[in-house]
Amino acid sequence: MRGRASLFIGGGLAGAFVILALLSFVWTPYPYAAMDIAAKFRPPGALHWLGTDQFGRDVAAQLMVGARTSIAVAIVAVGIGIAGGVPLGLWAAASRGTWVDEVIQRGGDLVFAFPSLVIAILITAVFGPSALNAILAIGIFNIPVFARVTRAGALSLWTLDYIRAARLAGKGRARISLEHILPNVANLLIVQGTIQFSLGILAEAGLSYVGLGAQPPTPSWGRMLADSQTLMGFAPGLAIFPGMAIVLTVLGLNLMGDGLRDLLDPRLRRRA
Amino acid sequence: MTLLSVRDLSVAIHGTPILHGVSFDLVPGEVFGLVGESGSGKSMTALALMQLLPHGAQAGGRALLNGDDLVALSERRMCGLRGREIGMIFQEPMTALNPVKTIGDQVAETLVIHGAASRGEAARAARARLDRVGLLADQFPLDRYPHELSGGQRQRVCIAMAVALRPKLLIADEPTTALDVTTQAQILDLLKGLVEEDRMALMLITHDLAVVAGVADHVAVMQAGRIVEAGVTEAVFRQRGHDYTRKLFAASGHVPQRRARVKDEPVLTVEGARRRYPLPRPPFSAPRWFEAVRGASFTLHAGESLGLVGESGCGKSTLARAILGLDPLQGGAIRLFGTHAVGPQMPNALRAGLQAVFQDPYGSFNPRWTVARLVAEPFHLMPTTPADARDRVGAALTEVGLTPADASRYIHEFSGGQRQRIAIARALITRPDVIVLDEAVSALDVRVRAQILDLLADLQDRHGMSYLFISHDLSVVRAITDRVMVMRAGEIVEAGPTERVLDAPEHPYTRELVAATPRIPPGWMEDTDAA
Amino acid sequence: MLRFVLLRLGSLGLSLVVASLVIFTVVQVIPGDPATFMMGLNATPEAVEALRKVLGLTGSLPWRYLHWVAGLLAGDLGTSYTYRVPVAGLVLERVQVSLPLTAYALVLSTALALPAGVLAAARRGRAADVTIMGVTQFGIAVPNFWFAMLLVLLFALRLHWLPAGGFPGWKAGLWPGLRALTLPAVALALPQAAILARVMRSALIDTLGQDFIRTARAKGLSQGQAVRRHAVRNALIPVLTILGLQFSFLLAGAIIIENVFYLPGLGRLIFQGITQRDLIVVQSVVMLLVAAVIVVNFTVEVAYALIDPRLRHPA
Repeated sequence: MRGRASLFIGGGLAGAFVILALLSFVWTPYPYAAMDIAAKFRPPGALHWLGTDQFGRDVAAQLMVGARTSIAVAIVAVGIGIAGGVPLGLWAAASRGTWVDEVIQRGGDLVFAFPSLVIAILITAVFGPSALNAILAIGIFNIPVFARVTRAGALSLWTLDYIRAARLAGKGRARISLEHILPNVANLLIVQGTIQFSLGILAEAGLSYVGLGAQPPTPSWGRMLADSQTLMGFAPGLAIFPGMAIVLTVLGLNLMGDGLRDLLDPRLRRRA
Repeated sequence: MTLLSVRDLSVAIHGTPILHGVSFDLVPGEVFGLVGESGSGKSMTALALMQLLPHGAQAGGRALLNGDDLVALSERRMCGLRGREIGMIFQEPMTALNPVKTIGDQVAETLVIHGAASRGEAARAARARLDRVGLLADQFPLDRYPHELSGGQRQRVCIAMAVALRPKLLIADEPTTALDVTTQAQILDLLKGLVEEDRMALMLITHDLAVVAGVADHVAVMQAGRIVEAGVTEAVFRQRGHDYTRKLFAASGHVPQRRARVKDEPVLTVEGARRRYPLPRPPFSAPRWFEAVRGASFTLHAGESLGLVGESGCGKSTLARAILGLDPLQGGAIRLFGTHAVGPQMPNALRAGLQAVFQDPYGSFNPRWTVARLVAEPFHLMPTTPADARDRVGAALTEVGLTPADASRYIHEFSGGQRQRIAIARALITRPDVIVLDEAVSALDVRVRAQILDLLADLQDRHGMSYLFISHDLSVVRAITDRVMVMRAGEIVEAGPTERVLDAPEHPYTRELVAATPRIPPGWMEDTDAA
Repeated sequence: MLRFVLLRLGSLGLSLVVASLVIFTVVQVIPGDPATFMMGLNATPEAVEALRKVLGLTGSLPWRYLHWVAGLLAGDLGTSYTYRVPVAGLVLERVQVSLPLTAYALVLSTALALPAGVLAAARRGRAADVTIMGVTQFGIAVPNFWFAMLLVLLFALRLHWLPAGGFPGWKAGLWPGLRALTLPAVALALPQAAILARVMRSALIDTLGQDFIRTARAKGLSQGQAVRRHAVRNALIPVLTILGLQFSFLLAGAIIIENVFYLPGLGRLIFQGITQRDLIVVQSVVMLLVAAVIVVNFTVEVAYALIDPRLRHPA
């Protein structure tokens, strides 16, 4: 029951931001880049719901477009992680105890030794800052995460008798991985995907805060925060709203992940 | 003189009744057996007496031990009683000990926690108790960790821990179920010895009627949370007053009707099969190998049912994997029909002649597939899926006692026994010549097991395929096989007609195995109806 | 045990070698010629050649790699392009800020998280548990740099309790230094503490469900005694893993937090390196950070073996 509640609340929160992001393609209260110096530092009100920034730009419009950046970066980074990590994890589990497994595992350890931000720094140092590089930096870090989750889930499945039965039916390791292993680790991947999605949003915010993410004029939550920092003394609203947007989105995704875990985890279900 | 008097004990979990009005008495120096199938409430009874019920459980009734009501006692008082007045041991010795503490510390803790001894004295007492349960100082110093011990040795540590303060009551919940028969016999002997020495009362919970017959003075039979029959062990066994007791006892000794038609045609021949695998080793050190099967040879004939028995780790499952062509051999050969080599590279058409049923009814099926797809999976071995695949799945399900309509359901909708039927249907679908049954009935309750054995006998009568029946349970092997082989440490030490091998064993190991197997005294079970 | 440590040491060395190869490749091979990259497109060939000499970028790639690694081992991290001083000196200055900050945060986060996690697990489903879980749910959703900004807003700008940024240097005394690091350390520690508390709780709840806890209870231990004597040490095994990972998160987090508080640490050094295209600084500092993470992971693995006898002497 608790799983269902957090799934709905979390899904609702995260879903709301996704809808706002999608809506921003067709409608925002003001054009997000439109400056109006006369209307700078407006407090939240009827005209500008969340106020305006130092150039008179509408904060609500920037937040909506910023959601687009955050969500896009996080989704693509999760996609990279799944596309790269899941096959590696399946392969490692199918060749347990061989050098393939060993290389995949140690490779993962090595990526983990690089803090994701350090990878981003390295990439930007060479290629220059951009949203694409932020995606790459976050996505590379996701690959070993998904590889590990997939491998761990797959290893416990490989010991089960239905895998033996499939081998008796003449099926090879690749086919068994696709037909029997993948569908049964899908739940784990969905839960992990939600977690990595929320971590991706946090990471993107951090990168763009230090100027290594999306570049102007593309709005992003992290850079809105960076811009507001020097103005914090007399316009705290500029620092509050983007931060709240990040917290609510991440909170929603985390709650959703917890809810999914409770609902999908067969161990928890069997115990109930 | 009564030690423990239980009256109208009841337990409900979140309002659902689990136990109803359970009453019995325990006497010092005697063994009280509590038997029943899984889910009958045996373990709940024990946990209620210990006040260790799971969360959400509520106990009612009375259980008087020396004037203290165990059901109503405060948690503080219970902590004082547990370990001091009542000791308990559990089924799974592999997980019952804390992996990060030494066995000496864990045994001594019983004394320390009750303030019965200083640390030094407790360590000495722990040493004495470990010696008493057969773990002698030279081989098992106090600073051993649980993972360095075998299952039987760990169970001895658990016993030492439970009896460290010489409690008046010892509760043993399936203490030997996870152990091999020879180890089981030793542990049961140890428990009996402790009961006599310290005039303890032992409450022995088990599903195994033969164990109770050999050990218990009194017995109570449980079904669905009630005691349906109780009394002096021999009397209960002889009378079988309650309908459920009759069925249970009949099933435990059940022998299916078999019309053996063994033909003198070899179907499967195994010649000097060797199987070894590398042990995990640190890098840069010499590889170490474990010889799991050391030159096994035998022949399985058409229509024959051949048993393969042995204790855990003897190599029977490794041999089974090789016979199924899942693992390569390092020596010798396995052949189907005298010519075709069996191995990982064997052609699909040959593989279709060789199918299997495994032990675990829960892990044997992909939970995301329908029964139709599960049963049809071996069609992958055919060049093309047969046109009448659906009908053949339906027919196979009918043959194992299910209906074609079951094909569209998912596996979680079936009970353990039904799942084993589906596993048999899957093994039948390619009309194989040999079916390997790897502990196929070991996870089932006795009544379900009897039904599955009947089904297997019936299918063999009809189709004339051969069975290789792998089991640790001699009574099952006796019921279903024509010949039996006894395996030990990778070698087949004795083989022959089942009755001869089990009634007049020649090899010392077989003798030991047969002697260790608990049996209901023959006279007790006369006039057993075949129901 | 000795064998175990030696084995881990071997894999530690291997990881360091591979990491250095990766970093060298990204920094010196992918952009082509680093000297040209640093000076920009308008530099004359002579100027580039001169820079190459100064920075020791002459010779073939393998030679340059070996030269760099040999330097690292000898404590020579190369010469900064912008400052024209040895990188080692710069790093030594900056480490005095970054290392205390990370350690401060790690201590804070562990001191808060472990008791909170144990409490939540012991009071599972009751008010204390629900409160702790609710707070940590928020804690893991808050970006640390935003939290840092809020802390500055409240404790520095409104209440004037603590400085809003900057670092007076340890020469000014221990107290001013700690004061300057307090808000950054809290900002770093709280989100990490939220994660750690949740891991501690779930590890402890898992352990409490194990058979050996029931055995301990059957011996007469109360629930509390069973938790203290049997559950906590077993639950620490997964917690240690997370603690090891946290070090790398804290290190990365510190890079950002230093920017919020204008702290002259390694993070600021890296960013200056990037904006000034000072590849030598970036290369060496990144290598240093990665090495720190690898060494910490090694320590964690050895700590595992101290807790878990199954690793110390396998049966």
